[in-house]
Amino acid sequence: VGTTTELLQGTLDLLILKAISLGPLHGYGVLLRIQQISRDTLQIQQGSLYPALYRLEHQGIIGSEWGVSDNHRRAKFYRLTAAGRRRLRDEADYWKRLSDAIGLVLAAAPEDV
Amino acid sequence: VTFVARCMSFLRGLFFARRQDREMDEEWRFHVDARIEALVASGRTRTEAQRLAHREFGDPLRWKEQGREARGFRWIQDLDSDLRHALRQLRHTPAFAVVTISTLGLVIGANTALFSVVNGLLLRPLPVAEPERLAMLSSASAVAQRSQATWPRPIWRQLEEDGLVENVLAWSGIDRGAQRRFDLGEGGEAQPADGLFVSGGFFDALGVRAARGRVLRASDDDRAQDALVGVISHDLWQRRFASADDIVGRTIHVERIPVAIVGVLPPGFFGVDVGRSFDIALPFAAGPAVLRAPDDWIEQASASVMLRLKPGQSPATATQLLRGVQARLAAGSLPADCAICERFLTDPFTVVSAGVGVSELRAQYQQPLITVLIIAALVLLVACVNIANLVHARGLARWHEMSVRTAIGAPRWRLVRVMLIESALLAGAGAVAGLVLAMWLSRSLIGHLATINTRVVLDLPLDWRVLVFAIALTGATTALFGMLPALRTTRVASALTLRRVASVQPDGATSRRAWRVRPGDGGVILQVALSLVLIAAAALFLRTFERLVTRPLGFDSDRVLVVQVNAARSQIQPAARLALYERLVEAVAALPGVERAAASRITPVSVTSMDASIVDAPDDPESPFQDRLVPTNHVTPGWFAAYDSPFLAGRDIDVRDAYGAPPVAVVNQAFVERFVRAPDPIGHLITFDADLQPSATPRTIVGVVGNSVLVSPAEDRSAPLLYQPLAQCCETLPDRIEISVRSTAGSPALLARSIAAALTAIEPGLSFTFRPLAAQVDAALARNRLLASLSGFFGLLAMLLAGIGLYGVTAYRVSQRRPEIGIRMALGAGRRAIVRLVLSRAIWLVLTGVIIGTVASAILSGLIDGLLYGVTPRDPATLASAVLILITVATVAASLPARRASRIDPWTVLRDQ
Repeated sequence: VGTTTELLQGTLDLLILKAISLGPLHGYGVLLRIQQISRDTLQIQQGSLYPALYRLEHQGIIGSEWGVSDNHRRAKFYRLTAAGRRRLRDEADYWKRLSDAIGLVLAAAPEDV
Repeated sequence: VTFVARCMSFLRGLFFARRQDREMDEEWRFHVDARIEALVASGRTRTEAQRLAHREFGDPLRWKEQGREARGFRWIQDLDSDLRHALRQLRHTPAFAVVTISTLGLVIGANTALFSVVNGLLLRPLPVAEPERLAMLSSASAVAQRSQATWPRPIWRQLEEDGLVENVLAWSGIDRGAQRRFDLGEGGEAQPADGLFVSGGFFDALGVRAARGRVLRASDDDRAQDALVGVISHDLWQRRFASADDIVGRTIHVERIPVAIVGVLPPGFFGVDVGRSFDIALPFAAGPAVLRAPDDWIEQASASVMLRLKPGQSPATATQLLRGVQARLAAGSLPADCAICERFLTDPFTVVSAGVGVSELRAQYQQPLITVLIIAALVLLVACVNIANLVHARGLARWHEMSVRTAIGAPRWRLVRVMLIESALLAGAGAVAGLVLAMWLSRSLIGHLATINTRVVLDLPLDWRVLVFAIALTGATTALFGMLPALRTTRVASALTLRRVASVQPDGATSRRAWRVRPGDGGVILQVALSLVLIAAAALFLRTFERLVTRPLGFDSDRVLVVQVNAARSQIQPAARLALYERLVEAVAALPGVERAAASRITPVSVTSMDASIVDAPDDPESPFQDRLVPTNHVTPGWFAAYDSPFLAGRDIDVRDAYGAPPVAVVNQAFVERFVRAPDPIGHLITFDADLQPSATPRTIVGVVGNSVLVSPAEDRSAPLLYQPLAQCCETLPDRIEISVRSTAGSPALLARSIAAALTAIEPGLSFTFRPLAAQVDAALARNRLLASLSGFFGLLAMLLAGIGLYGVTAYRVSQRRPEIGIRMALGAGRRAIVRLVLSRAIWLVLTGVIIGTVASAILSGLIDGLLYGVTPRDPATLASAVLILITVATVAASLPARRASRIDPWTVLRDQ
């Protein structure tokens, strides 16, 4: 296990949206997907995923339905709604702008100022 | 979209909370199991994997809590637990709960009952189609006098034909009041019923459909009809015909005249006169036959006229349209045979909205009922202060629990909510008790509106207005008695941390000065002030009633029995009625126990309609006829003696004044002052308006009597009255007559049996009713009696509640100051000094309240001026007596705890410290 990074406040929502934008997932699947795409650098307390999922569902950004998992057990699958896709796009744009800006700031050499 | 999604999610949470909890568990079990499998697959032992997976997942309870919060329905579950908590608390103190709920039940019940009567009488739209488009055809002068206008048939028929409004409907009760009711009997005992004459289009215009058969139609009101038809009320159908299926086509006898029943009206339809009802409705065309009146009765009968306006038509525009027609009618386009129409055309038509129907009862009771409703609302306020005190004391008793809850992190609003929920539970229980009480109370209140003269039929459904009122009242009560104590006690609780609770007294009673205002004082002052206002109002109404009861009537009512004789069904020819009546009077006068007997067309106080003469005023011949309209009675010799009203001049009517003899009259003092103005009125010739009463012959005044009451003991007694000999009344006397019987001693009602026997012996076909005059005087004062008794009851209740409130607050202060009082006594303070210490404070509060209450009373009493008689609204004596009563009660209430304080044993107190 390499170095890990604490999640910034509010970023969990974005990660969840991104994870399920690639296809419907159950809660454990969301966890695996996040770990997989972040190459295990982001640490989430596993249970905290669920209140976040419920909140997003309550806001109508994601939807859910019961289905059957790979190992043939009943599991609840989450997927993006139209509103969710819009939100993901907005948030992704925002993050990209923010990280570009911060990258620029940090990359600035003394002579640039 | 998101808003809807949120709502849906919230509702799911609300209704499927348990299922969601189960689903969460299942979801998480799946998660943990999957994780365990993954860990096992990566080489851990199963036990280790299980431990690790659970640790990684975290505390499920915490996630669950957060999950609920995320779904926005956590407060529901908190509410549930608070509700349980509140119920538990109330169960622990049943006495508190019972006292509070019954007090609230009483005041909420009284308020709701009064409101439901106000609703039934004033607010509820008529139960007909589109009541908002109904309007009354009134006249400018009737509107100005707040009376109802009536119109003869040719006028409303003309309006109907002109079609300026959608429909015109006319009706007339057979008589206002109960003196004239139809007899539906077919012989033997009378079967009285309330009847209504209606125009043919009456029911159609109202949109009322028959429950059986059909309603009346225009052709039924055609004079050419030979078969009489009528419709009966649903009530009569059930009562008299046992809901018979074959009712249509059956015959009912109205005043012995057979009438074919063509339909049954729907249940709950009482006509358009709120507070009254009817059993049978006949077309006007049936009037002459049933009333045995001449044929032109149809044209002459005065009818109330209602209009159904066209959609979008306002009463104002209708008024303009109809006044245009009126001008044309006045110019001569009415049928020539309508002699009486002319005077109806000089008074401008005025259309008044009538969606809530019309009602004499309403005119009479509107102001009294609203006054009593306001009084009851003030009593509710007084009661709320008491309950607030109780809730506050209870809150303080629980301050330890509150402090603990605060210390372990309960936010203050949560504590406030627990207390408010408790209050809401109490108020809710009180409201339920109140509604049950209200249903009973309102019915008995209606019973008190009725008198021997008027029956009151008022539908009091528990409709949305009453329910909204009860719910709003409950909410307001909760806020009133719950909010302040909740805020106050929780502030105390939050202020005290757990560590300090042992040594600090709640509510910081440290000041010794009597005039320092403390929480709870405001309540006492408010209670005293409100009670004073209510007691003063009650005293004013009681004094009014007392004045009216003791006011001389101008005659003696105690020993007079009025016998109404109905000769409609006897075999006697109309021309022989005078002889019959004279024989009846003679027979009654000869009975033992009878001092005097005499007959008359009308008797005082029970008057509902009467003849009037239009007298020429010598000094002002051009004055409008309304000012020269003199109520006229027809009497037999000895009538004034039966009423014990003395003659001021001249003689009584006697046997010389027979039919055909020179016309004579007896007048009252007011008549002399208004129309005679001669030093000696005896021998003066009264002349009548030649245009309006061309057939009236001039009459010579032979006697003058004092002024007396005609309709109500409260009326202005300076109205002129004219009495004519019954023998000179008219060619054919009416079929009803009143015989007034004066007993030699004792209750006149005891004479009824022997009088009935004597009358029947002379003419078996008569029917009669007996009414003691004193009971009728009572009936005329029904409104004042109701006001006096209700305001008296509420005033006493308020005073009692204020006394209890003062007692409670004083006792509470004493209990708080026990240590201080103990020390004072140990240092040598005497008992008197202690009593003075406690009392001075209470008296200071009471006096403040009395001053505020006096000012408020002086301001508010102006509003009830119209309901008072013989006493001014700011009568100082009345107000002073109210203040005195209140101070006495307050002193007693405060002196009980004061005396208890003086018996405190200083050693016990000091040991406790």
